Amino acid sequence: MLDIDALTVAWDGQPVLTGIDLSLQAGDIGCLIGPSGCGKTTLLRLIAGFTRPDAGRIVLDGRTVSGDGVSMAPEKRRVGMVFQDIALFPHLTVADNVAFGLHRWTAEARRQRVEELLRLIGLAEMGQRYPHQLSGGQQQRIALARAMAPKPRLLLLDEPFSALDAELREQISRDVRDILKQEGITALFVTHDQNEAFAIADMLGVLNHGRLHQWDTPYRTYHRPATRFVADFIGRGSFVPGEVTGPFMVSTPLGELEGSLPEGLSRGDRVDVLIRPDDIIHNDDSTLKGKVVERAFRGAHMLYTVELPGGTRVPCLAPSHHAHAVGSAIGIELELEHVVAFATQD
Amino acid sequence: MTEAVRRRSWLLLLLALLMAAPVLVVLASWLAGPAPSWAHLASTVLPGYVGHSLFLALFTGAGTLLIGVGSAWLVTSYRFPGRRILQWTLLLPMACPAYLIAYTWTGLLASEGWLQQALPVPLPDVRHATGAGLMLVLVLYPYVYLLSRAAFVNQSAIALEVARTLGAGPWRRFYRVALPLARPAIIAGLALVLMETLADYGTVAYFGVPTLSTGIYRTWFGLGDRLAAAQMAATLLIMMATLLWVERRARAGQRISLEGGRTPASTRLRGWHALLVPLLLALPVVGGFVLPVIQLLYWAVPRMEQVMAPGYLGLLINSVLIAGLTAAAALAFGLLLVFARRLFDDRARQLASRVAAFGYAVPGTVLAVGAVMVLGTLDQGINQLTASIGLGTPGLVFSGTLFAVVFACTVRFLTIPVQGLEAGMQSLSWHLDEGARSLGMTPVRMLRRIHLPLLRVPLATSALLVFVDTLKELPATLVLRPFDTNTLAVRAFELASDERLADAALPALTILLAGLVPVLLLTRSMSPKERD
Repeated sequence: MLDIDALTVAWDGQPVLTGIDLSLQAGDIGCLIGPSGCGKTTLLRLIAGFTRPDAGRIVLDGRTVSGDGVSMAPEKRRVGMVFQDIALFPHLTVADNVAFGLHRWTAEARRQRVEELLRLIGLAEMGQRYPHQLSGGQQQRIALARAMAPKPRLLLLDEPFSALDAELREQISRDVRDILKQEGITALFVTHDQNEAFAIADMLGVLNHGRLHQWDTPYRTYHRPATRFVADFIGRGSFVPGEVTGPFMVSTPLGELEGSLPEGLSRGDRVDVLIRPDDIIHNDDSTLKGKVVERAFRGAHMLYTVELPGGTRVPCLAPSHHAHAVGSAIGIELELEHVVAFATQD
Repeated sequence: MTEAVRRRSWLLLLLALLMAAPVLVVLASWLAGPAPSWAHLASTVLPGYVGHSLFLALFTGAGTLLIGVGSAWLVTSYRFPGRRILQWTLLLPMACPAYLIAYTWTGLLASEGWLQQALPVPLPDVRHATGAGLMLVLVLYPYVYLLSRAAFVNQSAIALEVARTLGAGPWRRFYRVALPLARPAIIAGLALVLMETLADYGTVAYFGVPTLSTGIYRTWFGLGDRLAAAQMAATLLIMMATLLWVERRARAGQRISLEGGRTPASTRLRGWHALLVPLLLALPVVGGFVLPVIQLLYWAVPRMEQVMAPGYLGLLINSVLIAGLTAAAALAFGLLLVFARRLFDDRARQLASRVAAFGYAVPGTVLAVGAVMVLGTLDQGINQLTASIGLGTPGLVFSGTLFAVVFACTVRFLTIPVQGLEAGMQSLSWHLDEGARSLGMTPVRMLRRIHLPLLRVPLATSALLVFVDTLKELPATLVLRPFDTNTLAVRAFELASDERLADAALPALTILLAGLVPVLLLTRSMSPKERD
């Protein structure tokens, strides 16, 4: 459906995006995530056609829309976009907003499509209202309906929920996924909120400094991060120092671990091993003891920061009724499914 | 102390009443019932007056919309060679009063003029109603351009981008998105244009086009029918009030708009478009500024030695004196009104500043009529009084001196300092006042020590604007000036009317140069983020 090939763009000599490759299957929802300034919005604007790439190609439905000397105008691409600040036309009613992209349809088809979409987003009665008479969440759903109305080949959503408050955001991101799936729309989101990304995405892309570090399922970006940045950025976790002791062996303060290691490492090399809070279980009977240096109450859980004898600190998630005071000793046990290690950087 | 200031609001209302007196007496003329001559006027000249005024309003309205909105849209959404220069030069025609343009174009198109000598085809005549409309369009379109350009620039780029992702081409984006979003600003600009058009005296008088504005003048001074003239003025005034109301409403409507975001991205024009668009946009600048300036220089340069002659110097001194006195008076009253509202923003004070700001909508001829009625009555009363106590008659101390001109111009331009200072005052935090008062400052001391210094920029700008506007003002000065006193504007108009076009060039050029100053200030205030 969407294929992006070695896409590169620079502004005033500063690289903004470098060698981006990704592809999205029809009907899938992709999600781009990264810290602010990583180039994720620029990538969306390149796909929409507002910005031209310096090199590389964007192919939609087997047809090149950017690159190879081609630059199709945004209004010709049939790529819908939902913007961060909602941007409904303030001078048009809700129904006219939704119908805006349907100007080539017959009046009857237009009326039906608007009705169908307003029903889909649960605002069937609101067609004759003006945007300023509606709540933020309602406005966001209308913006979505407006973008979906002309049945775009691809829908882009640029941090569509950032203007909403946290509670509303969760609800509406679930709603939006349902609506997109119901309409069978291929979509690409941009967000900086991991929970939102996990809730919506079939495919997750992690961007930093204009490079796409990983394009994978959300599960694999969490459990099989491709780079140290992805490991750091997605989910909580910390690194413990280790030393390679064999082809599949690492020695750490938490014990000997067995798993696949990055290529090019040999015995004696120093590595950092990723430890997620849920990799370490609280067990009073364990022989491995640490000292509680910090604890944070999380309702159902207690998140401890535990200092190991060598001074390494690791997170530990324990049921909330297992109360250990700061400074006391705590028994922990490692329950690691697979080792994720990166060569130590100097 | 504070209570005393509070109770003194009647003083302010009295001042506002004085400012409103010319308008009130004009409106009150209808209390006497219709003038006896109405039937006669209605069957002879009146249809012509109204017809020409309406024609000019329609013509100028349509013309300024086309040029103003069109150029604003092209300049904000496309990139082409010369865009940056055109962006601000499109404002230049604002510097010329319409009557100057009218007379320079008459000279330009004259059969003995250099343009006609250089061109093989016969040039048309502009001295008719359509010509007057064209002249007004040339100098008034910048109002529409300025306001609609600001609206286009401040429109969120997102709105236009959304439209693109929904498949809207350039025309659809303009008609369905940009234009409706800018509509309040465009209507506000149009209302200003129509007010200036209906108020215009110099252009139509010079071209001999009978309108309501010249009709008032003729009825009063030609026919000596004061009642009918005042009632005609009242009718024109009501039209102006309607336009003023439309303008205020439109500005209030601007608040419903998309928030923030980047300014719209512009598209680069290619091929013959990149050539045609700047040429097209240069036309109003050439017609409304460049050609008239060239023509004026062509006339004025051989007469440069007259700059030091007593005739020209006298005009300059009179003009500067009147403009300076008016600026000082308007600034003083403006400060008084604005300071009073800062201390106590009650109904009486709001009303006072509202009344004081209405003068701008009063056409110069109407104002002249009102001022003569008010000041003439005042002088008569004084003379009767002094005669009755055996002191003889001092003559026309108010209506026959510079006082009348300064008074009328102050009424007309008082809105400039009031609005400028009010805007400046609003940007000053109330914490300043509270801090000063808690440190034991009296209100008056606080205004003098804190607000006055902080308001020096709006003070200077307002003073400059009033000065230049008074310098350009024609009809009220023409009527109210003392018998042997001439100003630059009056003299330029008189010489031009006597077909001594070349002799009028020096005072005309002086007015134009002065008019350039506020326009250049305006172009500087175009914010830097709008440049690319």
